[in-house]
Amino acid sequence: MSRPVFPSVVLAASIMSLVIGCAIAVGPDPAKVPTEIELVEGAVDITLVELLASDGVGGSGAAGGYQLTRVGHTVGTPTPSILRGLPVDLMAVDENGKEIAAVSLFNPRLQRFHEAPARVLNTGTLVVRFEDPGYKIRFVEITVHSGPNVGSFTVRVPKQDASTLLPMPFP
Amino acid sequence: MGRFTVMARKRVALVLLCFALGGCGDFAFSGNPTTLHSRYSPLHPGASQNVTFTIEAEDPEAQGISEVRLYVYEYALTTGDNGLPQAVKRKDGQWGEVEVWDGPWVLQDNVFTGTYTHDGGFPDESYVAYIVRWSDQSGSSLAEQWVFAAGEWPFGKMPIPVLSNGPPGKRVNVCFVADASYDQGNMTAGVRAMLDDVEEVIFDGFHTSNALDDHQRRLWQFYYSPEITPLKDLQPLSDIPESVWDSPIATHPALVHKTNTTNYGTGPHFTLNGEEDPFGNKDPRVNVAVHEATHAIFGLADEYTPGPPPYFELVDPSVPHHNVFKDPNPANEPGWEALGKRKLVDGWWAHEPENPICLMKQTDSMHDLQQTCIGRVRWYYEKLDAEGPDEVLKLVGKKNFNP
Repeated sequence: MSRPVFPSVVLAASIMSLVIGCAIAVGPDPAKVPTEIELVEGAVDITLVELLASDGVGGSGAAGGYQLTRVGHTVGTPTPSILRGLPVDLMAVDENGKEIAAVSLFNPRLQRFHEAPARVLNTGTLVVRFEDPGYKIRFVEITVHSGPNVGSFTVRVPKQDASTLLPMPFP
Repeated sequence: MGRFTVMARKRVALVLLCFALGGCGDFAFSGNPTTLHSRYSPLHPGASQNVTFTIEAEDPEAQGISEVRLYVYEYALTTGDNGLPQAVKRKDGQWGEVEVWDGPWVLQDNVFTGTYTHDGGFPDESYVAYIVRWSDQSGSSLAEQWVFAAGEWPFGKMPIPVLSNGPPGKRVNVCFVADASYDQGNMTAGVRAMLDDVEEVIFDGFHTSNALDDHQRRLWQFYYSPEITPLKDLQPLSDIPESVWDSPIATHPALVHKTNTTNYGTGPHFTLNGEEDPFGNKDPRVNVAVHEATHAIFGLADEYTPGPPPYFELVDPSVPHHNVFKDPNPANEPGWEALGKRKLVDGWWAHEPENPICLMKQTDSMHDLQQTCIGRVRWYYEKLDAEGPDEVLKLVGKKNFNP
């Protein structure tokens, strides 16, 4: 005599109903809270470059165009690179011209206001944190599509070593 | 005794499975999603300072909120082996459930509000996580988690998290920086005043925008700099503290003016007011903060008309959902005919008609971002590759967006 199977079917389906159908848990589980948290989870190698954009005549002493004013390597989170096509495109390349990372940013010499005309500054600064595994970036190619300094510029990034390791902003 | 063939068993299982899945149709996320908002106060509490948590839940379809639970977890801040900040469960610290709201009185008019005060706060060098979880009568639950610093911050000038929850590389990270208007001879007091001001900007501003609807709030993290910048009214960016740029967390600096100014602006950073207009004029600071952040983070343009021409457009056609155009008939934007078009000034066009009003057009209140702008926001979030329940993101992401 075969054993009845219906109860097992009902049980399985009921469990499925509970698991799949109705009881849905969304969001973090209080029972699975980690005992350790990395505040900078997913940190990567970063080459930080600071670039000064200048009109070359504003009394800053800077030549017109883009100049490298600070560089260093560190770890952490890179500058967001999702948006492309903003007024200034920056592409970091290695010594062979191979792209390492690219970002697109606003023109640092153009300040836009809520209820006033945009203001053109004599100088402006960009600070970019390029993701750079192994610290291979040697040049940054800058293309300004609109606003002050329209054109193309290339700055050389000195080879990084221990002396250029940026200190963390904490002891 | 009746016997079931294999075929019959499959049919029964199929019927029950359909019944089970049909039940999903009644789940709170399907129609008008249940919302769950939480906040704490004050931002970055001092050592031993009381901390108050406030939870709001809304159940538009009256499924029946059965309980709301609050969990608090206390960590000690330290430096990890990689030299980066780390938080480790504190021995004898608070760890687990602190409050339960249950019973029929929980659900009143489909809305629940509860507060809990953690008396005595937390010691120096604390990192505090909290989870709030709402459950309905079917056993389904919805939870959110936030983390914040408490007591003395042991990492110098590094931006301090006041509301975070995940990897900075997969989040939008906003770092508030007080400008010189907060400098009253005491940096600590000035920064504290700025923090008190931006509490409202976060919870009554950003968290009320449809750009951060429901679970998309979890994609935004907020920090602040313990330094005051000497910057006044949008001077060059170089005045933003190096500690912000050099910190291991890439941020969108948000410069906070203490008093009302119309010098809101957008560049690589954005600006906002921290304090109400002392003259009683309209107080758009929370709306303006979201508007300016939308420029800086998502690259969306103003839709003023007529006004001065602060418009810009992205030059890369691979970035979708542009909200202004030089061409009155752009080729690559779906839905153009259906949405209509609106001339801004000579040579510039907006994608959408006058109404409904988009926050990129008008900032007198927290207008919703309209379809094109929300399209850009959703696209950005997808590119962000955020971790977490993507299926939920897709579910709630469709709620107000039907292009």
